[in-house]
Amino acid sequence: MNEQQRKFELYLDEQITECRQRSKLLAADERMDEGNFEKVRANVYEIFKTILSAAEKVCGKDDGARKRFFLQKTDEIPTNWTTSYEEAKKQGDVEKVYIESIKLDTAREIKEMCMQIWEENT
Amino acid sequence: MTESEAISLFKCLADKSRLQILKSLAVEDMYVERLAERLGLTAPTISFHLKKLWDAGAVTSYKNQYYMMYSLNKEIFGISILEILQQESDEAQEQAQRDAEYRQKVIDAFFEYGKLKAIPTQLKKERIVLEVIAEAFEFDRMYSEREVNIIIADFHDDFCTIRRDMVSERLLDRNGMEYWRMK
Repeated sequence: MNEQQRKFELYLDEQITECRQRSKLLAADERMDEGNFEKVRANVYEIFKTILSAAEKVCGKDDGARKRFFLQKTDEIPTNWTTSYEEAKKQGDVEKVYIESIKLDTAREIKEMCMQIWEENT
Repeated sequence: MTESEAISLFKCLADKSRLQILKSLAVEDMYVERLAERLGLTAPTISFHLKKLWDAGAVTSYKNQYYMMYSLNKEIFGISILEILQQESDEAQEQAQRDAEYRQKVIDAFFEYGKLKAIPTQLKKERIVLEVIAEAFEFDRMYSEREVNIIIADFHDDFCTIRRDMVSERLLDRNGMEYWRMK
């Protein structure tokens, strides 16, 4: 694991921890729905953390290939979420629209952070 | 308000953010961004909560120039919790059916050929048995104690106990000399 990957994994871990803490605090403050939205966010970070370790297994030590693999997944995975978002919007399902938009926003943020970290170190 | 509407409203209100939104709307009608700014939440979060409140009938909306304004549905909040509790349950018919079945079961268990086999020890069951015996008495008619005893004796030999219990259960009343069936 190189420096970029370590930094990126640390970022994902921090986000997961923060989301879980916020979720607990919100639930304790009787804001269950918002607490659940934080869990949704944490799940997205976890998905991409798994992708990051998969990138290492698939691409080995080739840093460029790992970055390409990861970025490709950040485009592929949210495709279903976009479809669900559009469908929910059509059906007027505000809760689903909101959940899908949280997933899409989080995936976008992860992709941006990935690019930023890799650029910082090249 | 139906039972399911009440449940949906109570569920919806069990959230601090939604209560804060309602408290703000109790002050004045507001649009999403204004609520978001006031409560320190994002506009999409406010929209989500408003949709839930709207579905539960807690808020109404109307268009004002460029903004969708939200207001408290004062009609809903004018209903007292006691009124909701006093409304007939959606399951009232099923409950009445279950009560009738239970009553019939007790009658079948304690009466045989119109005679009471034994005085039930459980108060709930005894009440049902006494109600059946009370049906042998006419309304608006006065009975002497002897007449009461004869009528009860048709059901069970221990007419003294049954007569006393019918008075204490307010099925019969007395004035010292006579008895009558209570309505």
